[in-house]
Amino acid sequence: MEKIFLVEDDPLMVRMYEKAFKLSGYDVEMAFDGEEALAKLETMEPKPTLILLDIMMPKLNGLDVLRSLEKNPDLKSIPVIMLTNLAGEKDAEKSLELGAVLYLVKSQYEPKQVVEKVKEVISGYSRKENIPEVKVALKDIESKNEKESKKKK
Amino acid sequence: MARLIQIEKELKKELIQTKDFLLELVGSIPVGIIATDLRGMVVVVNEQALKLLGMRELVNSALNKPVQKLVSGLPTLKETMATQFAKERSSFEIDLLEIKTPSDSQIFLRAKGEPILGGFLLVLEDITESKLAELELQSKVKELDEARLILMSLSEDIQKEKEGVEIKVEERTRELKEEQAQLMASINSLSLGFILCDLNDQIILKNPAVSRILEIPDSEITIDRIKKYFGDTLDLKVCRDQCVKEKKIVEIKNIVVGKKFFRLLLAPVIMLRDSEEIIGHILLLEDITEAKVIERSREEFFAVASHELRTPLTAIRGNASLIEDFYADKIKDKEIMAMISDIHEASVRLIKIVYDFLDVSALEQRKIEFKKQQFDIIALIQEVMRVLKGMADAKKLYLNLEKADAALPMAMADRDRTKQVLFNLINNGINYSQKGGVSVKVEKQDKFLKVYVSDTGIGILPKNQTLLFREFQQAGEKILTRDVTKGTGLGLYISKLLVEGMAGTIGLVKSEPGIGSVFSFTLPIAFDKKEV
Repeated sequence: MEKIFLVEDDPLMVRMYEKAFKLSGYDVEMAFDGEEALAKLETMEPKPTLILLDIMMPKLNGLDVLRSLEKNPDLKSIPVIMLTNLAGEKDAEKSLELGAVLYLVKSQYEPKQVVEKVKEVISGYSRKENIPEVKVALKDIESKNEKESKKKK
Repeated sequence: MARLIQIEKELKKELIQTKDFLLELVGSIPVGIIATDLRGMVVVVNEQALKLLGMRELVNSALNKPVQKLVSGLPTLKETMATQFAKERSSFEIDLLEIKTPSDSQIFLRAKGEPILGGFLLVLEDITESKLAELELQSKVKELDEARLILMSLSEDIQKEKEGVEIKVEERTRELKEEQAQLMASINSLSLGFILCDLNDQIILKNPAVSRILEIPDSEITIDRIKKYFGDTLDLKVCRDQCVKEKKIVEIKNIVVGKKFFRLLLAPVIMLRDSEEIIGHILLLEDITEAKVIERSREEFFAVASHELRTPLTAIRGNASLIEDFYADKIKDKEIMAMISDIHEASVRLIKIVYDFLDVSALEQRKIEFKKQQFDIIALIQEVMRVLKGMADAKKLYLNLEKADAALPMAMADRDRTKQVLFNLINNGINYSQKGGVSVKVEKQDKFLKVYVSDTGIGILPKNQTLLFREFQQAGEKILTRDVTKGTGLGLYISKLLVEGMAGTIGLVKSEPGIGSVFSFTLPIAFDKKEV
């Protein structure tokens, strides 16, 4: 059974998504803040198939968790889907820059649709894609990065 | 007796000799001499006298003639002489007798008359040279006098002019001092830091705000000191050079020094007349730390508020959805399922309302950044129609995209926001139509693409058409008469803000109650780099 690691501080959301994934046949592990998430991931065996990561959390927010994951060779390969109600484009851009695969705004998706997205990613549909609500111009990020690296040169 | 005759002979001889001597003497004198007897008959005359009188007679022919006849060419002298012999003879001197000689040249004579024993002596002197000199002198003196008078007059005029100018200068000086005082008061009262520099970057003028904003003592403020203050965050020299060389205003926003934020504006000082020469520049300095803090707080508030509104709504929607998806078989009672469905629908509507409210707020505060993307408008319309097809089919309405007359250029706008506008307009068309359907057409108009969305809906009364594109308007008869299933009434308002944010226009083309409505909006065309 594939394991989903849900990092979410709001109990309403936790209960809802836990239910959705368990009813869809997934094993679900949870953490309620960023620090707890990193601590659990260090020792968790086996590692989860996918991480669902909220952004606004106590102690350590989701973006900082992403940064830490990227630095950890054991964890950086685990796909991360951001699951948040922050609908700003900058948050989405930043998340994708830091290595997230998808950026989903919770209020725009039924729980079943979130499960479908997770399935797609796990099944190998790993390219970064535009989300209906928060579109991220990936070309913009790429060209920005190119410009910055040219400036540094 | 012989002796007496001898003496008489000798005396006569002596007299003749003396007379000859005297005549010779008279003849050699350079002045004209005329002597008369008591009757006025000329007894002695020399050649010089005849010459001066313009007479060509010989001396002998002039003798024994009345002196008036000799001087007949000189009426004044003639009259004088006549008077002399008519009355008691007396001395006289007549000057500036002007006569013309036979050669027609003018000479000036001085005639002096003197009674002598046995007659009258008239001496004529040619004073032409001295008289001409005198006349010339007089002429020169007259000229000098006239010149002096002119000079005096000019001097008076100059003096008056000078006094006038002095008064004007005094008035203008007072005006300038007043203007200067007003300017200084204005500059000193500014909350912005104001610095006026010359072309050598020397500070000519600054106000107290500079010291307050930079927290540097006034006496230490120089351009170098300011450059040092900003350090690497700002190349003041580059900005200044750009301002002065290009004669334009240069603005630098969001300069961060420590915990403070600044905005800097440089403006050239240009002589407005003639040459438009740059004579310096002005530096305006603004501490925008507080404004930045407020802006950040507002942004954070929006982020947090929108997040906090969405989260419980997500729970309501999500759980209702979970029940419908996974627990439907456990709930036998159809009424309960119906209620759960209502809860789900309500939460979806509420989420949409929250999004609409937040969209409106962000758009009104110009917080939304519009991307400039090239995209195919036809493909986008087709995409939106695919999404709304189910809704249209449920009401047995058509969704039709008319073929364009010619190939259409790409649009240059924010693709997602355009999709949102299309969604609003087509969705409205479906919502307000009971039969028929919605058609969309695109055409090129100058530098824009114009999209028409036509429906066969209920239409809008003319008096309600002015209500369109305002917040919460459904263009109904009365504000309380509204169909809540058709939305909050923010759709058109949001569409307006979005289209205008993308440099387009939106409006109602026409509407007839019972027939339908046509809305349109425009978007800029994407030009190839070559075309630009």
